[in-house]
Amino acid sequence: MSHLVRTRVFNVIGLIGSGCLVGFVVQKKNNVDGLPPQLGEHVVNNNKVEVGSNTLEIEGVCKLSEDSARCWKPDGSPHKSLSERITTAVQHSREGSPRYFNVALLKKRRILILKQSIRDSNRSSYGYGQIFQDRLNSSGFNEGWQSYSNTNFSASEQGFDGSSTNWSTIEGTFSSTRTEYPLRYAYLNSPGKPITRPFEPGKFEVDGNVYEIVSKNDHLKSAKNIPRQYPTYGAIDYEAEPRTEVIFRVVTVSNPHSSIRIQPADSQGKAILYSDDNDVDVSSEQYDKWTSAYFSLPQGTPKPKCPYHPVGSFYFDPKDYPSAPADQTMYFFLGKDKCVNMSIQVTKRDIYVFHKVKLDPK
Amino acid sequence: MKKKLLVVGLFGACPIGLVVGAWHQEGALQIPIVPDIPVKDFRILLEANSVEVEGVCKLTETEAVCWKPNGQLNRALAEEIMQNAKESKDTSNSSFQLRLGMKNRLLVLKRVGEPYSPLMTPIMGSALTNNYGRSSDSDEKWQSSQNPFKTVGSVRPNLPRIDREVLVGSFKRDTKHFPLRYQYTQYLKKRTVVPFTKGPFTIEGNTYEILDSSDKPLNGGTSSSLTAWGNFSQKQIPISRAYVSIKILHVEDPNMIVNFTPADSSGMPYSGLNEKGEIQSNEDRDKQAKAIMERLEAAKKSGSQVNFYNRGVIPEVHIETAQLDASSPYNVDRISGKTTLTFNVPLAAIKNLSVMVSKRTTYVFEGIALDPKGTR
Repeated sequence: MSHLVRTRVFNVIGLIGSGCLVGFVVQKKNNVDGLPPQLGEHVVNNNKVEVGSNTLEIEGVCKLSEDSARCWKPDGSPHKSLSERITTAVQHSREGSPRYFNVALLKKRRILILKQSIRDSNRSSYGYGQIFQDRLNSSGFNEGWQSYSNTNFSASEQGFDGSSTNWSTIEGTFSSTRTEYPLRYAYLNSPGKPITRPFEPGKFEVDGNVYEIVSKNDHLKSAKNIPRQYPTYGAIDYEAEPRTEVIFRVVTVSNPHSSIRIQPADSQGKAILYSDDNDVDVSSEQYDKWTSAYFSLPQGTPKPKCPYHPVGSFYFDPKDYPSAPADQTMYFFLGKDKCVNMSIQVTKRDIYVFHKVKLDPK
Repeated sequence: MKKKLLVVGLFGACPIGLVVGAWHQEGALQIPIVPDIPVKDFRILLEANSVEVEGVCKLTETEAVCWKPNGQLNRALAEEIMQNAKESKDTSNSSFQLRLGMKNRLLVLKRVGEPYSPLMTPIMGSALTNNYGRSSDSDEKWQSSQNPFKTVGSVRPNLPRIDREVLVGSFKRDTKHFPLRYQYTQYLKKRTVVPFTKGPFTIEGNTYEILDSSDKPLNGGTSSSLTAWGNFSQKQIPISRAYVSIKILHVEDPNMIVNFTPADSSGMPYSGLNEKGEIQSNEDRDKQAKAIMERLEAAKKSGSQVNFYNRGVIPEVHIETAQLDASSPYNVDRISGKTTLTFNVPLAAIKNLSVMVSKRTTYVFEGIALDPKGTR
């Protein structure tokens, strides 16, 4: 073997949202959340950046107490009007629905107010933005801004010209000695149609990243550490065993912000989403029809087993592979011979870094 | 129609008042109201169990300021909280959700329980964080919280069980003191057997009547799950269901909670189901009881923790005990006094109902200071 396989990880299979099967990869590594801008990332100058059809800026950072807020601009200079607006919201929060905030002992807990301006809300824009977090599944204290916020202050303004401005809250926890921390904003979009390639052993390149199908075999039932059946998510009880086992290799990563989703596809390159126990393709319409009938059953009716199941897809995000080359096993709930092609959807991620956001006022 | 009766007695050193009120609606189930027992010196002592308010704290990201419930500073408690936060590897136990626009406080209860013994009828206590049956839900209340202390959850033979219950409360800015209700539930030692036949029966002064039973939900109700996940085998176990309609005819003491377990013809309660969903045999049950005793003895000798959660010690599926709490609005229809008990055994297997009664006693810590002495 020309290279050492340094990491071997199994994908943990779970059902998400619409019922598609996703492989999660868990690798321990150092995250970039608190680091200065990295190669390929966009540095935000003067606290303002255009992302898609939005203009983003940090309105301010605030420290909350139970009865007031103290806010400052990202450079640490006081932001008196924001302090006043948030303090008013704090003091009036028990009129109506209660608002909460978190105190973490010996840690800095801050909220960040993000301002998004849309020039023309009718102008369509593909893709979506979110806080970029790079610390999934790491144990211990997760320092940084987080995508989920327990404390929410929001406001919006509409212009007569179709423009609108929205303010939203991002929460973060930091060590007591930290004085500044970057905010990374990720904009994701899938610009093109899926790529089709034969689902056979061999190397292939997508956006500068090189992957390899090492092997594609019938799944052996005696294998260990493999999901025997779908977990029950929601109410639907799927029962299926993996049929095909694929050893997938991440050979080299030169573009950590281009991710791919691999879905088995037929000879025409059309992605196969669902099948029945006899390996016959099931259309999304058929599947949706069955599930809507299932959820319309009166309460107390014995729940039938689902005759269809998602065949599974595999999502690969290069940021989870800091130490390529690495092998991973993918399982598909579809027979090997039916996995003729791979339908590969590319998602690109642009990261905008608001550098050195002050965590305390000057 | 409203009748009141005041009986004043002594409970330990604390006087108690029993007020028997009436449900206002004509023909509705009559539930007497028993007032809470006021606590002296912020400490309840019940047999070998005690619980006391150790302190109240105000938290910021840099410090904890704590005081005793009478307002005197409790620096040791504050130091312990900060020390635990310092040693904490993450923020899971040192992060608290507080309400904006309110006065937020942490309350620490220290609980001491009698040493574990397999023959004990444990007394269980916990703070009450709802007001149901008393008053409308208020903005001001104590709620369960993250516990910033190192947990002491192990069961060590011969040693008192000590732990802390932590609550977080939010109050109006001008509220100076606030009470905390605390409830102990204690199983009465005797177990009684009620024949599984239609008709009335009386337990601890309260009278009930079995109206009907079926292997299908009664009155068009919904069926409980007919399968259960096995604890160990990770496969679904088929479960038979029995539904029993029961009516509360008369309530003398609303604090008597009745726990029904299906029992065989000798009155012996069933203990578990095997992998096939069948009632566990007496032999298996005896084996498990023996395994528990052996583990306890071994733990006593070595001084180690007792671990019961192993195969062979607990059954695949436990027999469900149905609880009937006359004063719970979630449990009993207040107008008709009716409720349905659900069991996870075949109806035909129920020959008797084995009954354990747990008695609930509610105390109230009055006048807990929400600010330390010497502050506004």
